[in-house]
Amino acid sequence: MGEKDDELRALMLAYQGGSREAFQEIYAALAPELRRYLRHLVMGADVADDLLQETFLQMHRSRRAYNPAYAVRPWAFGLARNVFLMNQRATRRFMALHDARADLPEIAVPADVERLGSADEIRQCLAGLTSEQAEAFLLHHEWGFTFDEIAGMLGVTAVAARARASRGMADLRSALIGLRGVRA
Amino acid sequence: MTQDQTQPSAALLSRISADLRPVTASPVPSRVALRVAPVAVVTALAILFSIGLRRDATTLGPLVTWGASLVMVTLGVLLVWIAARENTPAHRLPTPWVNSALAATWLILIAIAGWTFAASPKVFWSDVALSRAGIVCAAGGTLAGAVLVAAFATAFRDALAARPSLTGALYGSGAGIVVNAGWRLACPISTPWHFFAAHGPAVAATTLLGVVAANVIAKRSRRVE
Repeated sequence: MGEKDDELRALMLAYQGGSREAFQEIYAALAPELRRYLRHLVMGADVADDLLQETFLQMHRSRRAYNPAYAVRPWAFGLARNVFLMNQRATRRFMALHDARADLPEIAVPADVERLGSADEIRQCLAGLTSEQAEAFLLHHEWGFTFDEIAGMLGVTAVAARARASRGMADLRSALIGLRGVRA
Repeated sequence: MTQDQTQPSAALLSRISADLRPVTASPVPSRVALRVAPVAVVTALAILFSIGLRRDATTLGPLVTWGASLVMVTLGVLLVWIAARENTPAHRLPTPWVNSALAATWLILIAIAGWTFAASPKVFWSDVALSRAGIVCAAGGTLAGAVLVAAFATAFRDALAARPSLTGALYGSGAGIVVNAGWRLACPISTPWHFFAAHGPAVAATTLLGVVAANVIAKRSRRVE
């Protein structure tokens, strides 16, 4: 993670210096996982693609606000989250889609829980977690952020971030066991 | 829809390419606070020197006169630092801490007002003069705070806050408390009525101005170019 972030830091500095190629490399490195994160936030809705474009536009407008002291990935994820929160239209769609949580294409299945069930089962059970639990859980288990980084993104303490992720994991396990029981 | 996910769209790339002038990185929040500190001290002193030191300064003593104002300036800088953290994606402080800092600001303001009144409760002004002084303190404090809010809003114009109202409230109350730190050194009236009718509303108005400024900036940054 450290080496990758050092590369991204160097790219961000080049981007701040006016390099279009650096922007394209940053996009290539971050867009796929940011897209999946945004899809998680908007519950798989197509508006995630619009938000991804808006995130990179905001990154461009706010590129001065990036300081090399920051790790790039958490900063970019935090920016994507801010864009999501600020986008009233997306939020309204999110509210409208909130009940359709079972239909969740492309929501990540973390490697840590792959052994607990099939990808579909895990997605189905992930959709049953509270949004706070699911977000902390995925940020840690899927995207590999530390609890300090997650705390900075969500505006909670690191202890609270850990607790949300842990409760998410525990609830996911029991939901999967329950699901298996029903099917058996 | 089958676009390569690792390549930006042509529309996005053309927008990016349209403005690729080099920029310098903004300072980290602690550095923002360090830069704001001298501005805060100079603002407080400028208010003091333009009006003059309160006549009961010797009665109050150096601790209540200067010590309390120093606490207020420090608190103002701290609020700006919290605002800078709130404005930096992935570096936000826990929400309960931020809310507590805002609440503590008001408690400290009220405590200092009470402490000052306890040390120098006598007022020899007529009711009319007191009312006029109240208007001057409220309007003057708000006006001076507005200038500082404009400066802080300019410093924060590039970032994208998730909660602009909170960010604005933080740097707005930071500006308000810094101005009040200087104003109380000059204002000779310590009564609770004067605090709640003039100095307190000036800080509240400056906080509101911060909220408005941060929302205007956020709206501008969301606007499609």
